[in-house]
Amino acid sequence: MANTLNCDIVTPDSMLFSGKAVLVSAPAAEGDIGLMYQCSPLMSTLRRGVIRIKNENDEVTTFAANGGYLEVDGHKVIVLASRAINVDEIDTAACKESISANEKRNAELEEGNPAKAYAISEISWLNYLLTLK
Amino acid sequence: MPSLKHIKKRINSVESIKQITRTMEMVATAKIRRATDRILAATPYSTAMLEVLEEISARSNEAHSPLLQIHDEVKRAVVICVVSDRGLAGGFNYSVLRAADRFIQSMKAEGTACDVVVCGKKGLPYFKFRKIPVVLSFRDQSADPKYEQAREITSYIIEAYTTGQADRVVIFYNHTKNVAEQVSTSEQILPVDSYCFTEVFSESDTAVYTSESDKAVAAAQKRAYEKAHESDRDASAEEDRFMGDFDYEPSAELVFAELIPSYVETRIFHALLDSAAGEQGARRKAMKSATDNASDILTTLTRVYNRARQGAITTEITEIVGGAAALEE
Repeated sequence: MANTLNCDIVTPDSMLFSGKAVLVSAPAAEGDIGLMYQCSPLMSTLRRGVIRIKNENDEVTTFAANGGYLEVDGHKVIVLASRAINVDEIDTAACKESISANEKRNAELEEGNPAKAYAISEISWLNYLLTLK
Repeated sequence: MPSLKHIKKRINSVESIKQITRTMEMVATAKIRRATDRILAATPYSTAMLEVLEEISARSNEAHSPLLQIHDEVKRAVVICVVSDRGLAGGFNYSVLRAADRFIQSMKAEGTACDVVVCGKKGLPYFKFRKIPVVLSFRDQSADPKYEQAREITSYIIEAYTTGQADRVVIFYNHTKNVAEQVSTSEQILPVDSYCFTEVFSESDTAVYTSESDKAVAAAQKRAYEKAHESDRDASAEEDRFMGDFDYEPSAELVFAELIPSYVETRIFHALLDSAAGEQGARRKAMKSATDNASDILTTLTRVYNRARQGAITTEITEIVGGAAALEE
């Protein structure tokens, strides 16, 4: 079928998704966008949010992404997400465990330690994942 | 000459050592493949990112990011040291640690204090012994680095750099030149040098070479690479002419600024993967020479054993013959 976009979602350690899509919706910097075949070329940063990919059979796959960037040229969409996960694969128990571990670490670190920023960002990302469940 | 029993015991122990080293060699060989596969899996991301950075930096010369700014005075530096968790890998860890230590001493001479981020268990005691402050350390991940590790390091150094707690960040690791050879390498991570975006991202480009001959080899490789891709480039240039300009959201400069931290993350992750592959390569090499050495020792010991046994038999026969002769008389 001609009217599909090739869509790749790439994270630093793997290719998360690669396939054809009729419609891709993504949380671009200035508002959510929907991308279809032959849309105008765009390069945008992504906010934290949900990427939905609808294939030819109207099946929707959903990914949660924590920022990154998106490039589309009308035929191909490339999403480079610094971290992303298929929403179906979110493990609630593991998330909660990781949150409490990071909270503990955050409490132990003194104010002004640059390592604090990481713990805080982890907590906020994991909490976001839990809201999707 | 040691007793027969004693030699036999030694032969047995060398044999079992040989068995272990040979197994370790084979395990390392299997792991090299996995490690190189991981480097390959990480390549699309870094290539795509560099393409975008290159494009934007070519379009807008007003790209600003606090991570590009060079601090006037370098008071504190962060040294990231990537080594392994386990030993038995020859000079793998030592070469990196020594290079990092030399760098730290030279910085100290210039009046710059250094903090160290250590990845891999083997680095920790080295710096502790020398009383160099370790701010972050990772263990049990060196053979299989996770992206989280790169993310945590990046988050730390960016925070430190922007708040002025660090003015320079350098990474030391083993670059895997090929499966049999590792080169101790250092790279500057922060401030980010925006010139490097304009070059093709390949492992050989980012490495700082220890000798001029390496540089020449890398240059030759790069030329070959460019030649091979010349036809591809022509085709894509043709395509580009028909395509409109990209729209940037929110703006080219902001996209650029947002990408820089990811770029730093990618570089650190790449170094971790590179070092993981190198670790297996170094271990294989070390274990191979250990196995070869064990074989040599076995040959010598067996010879000694046989000689001792023969000696014992000869003595026995002489005694019997002597005894019989004495009886006849």
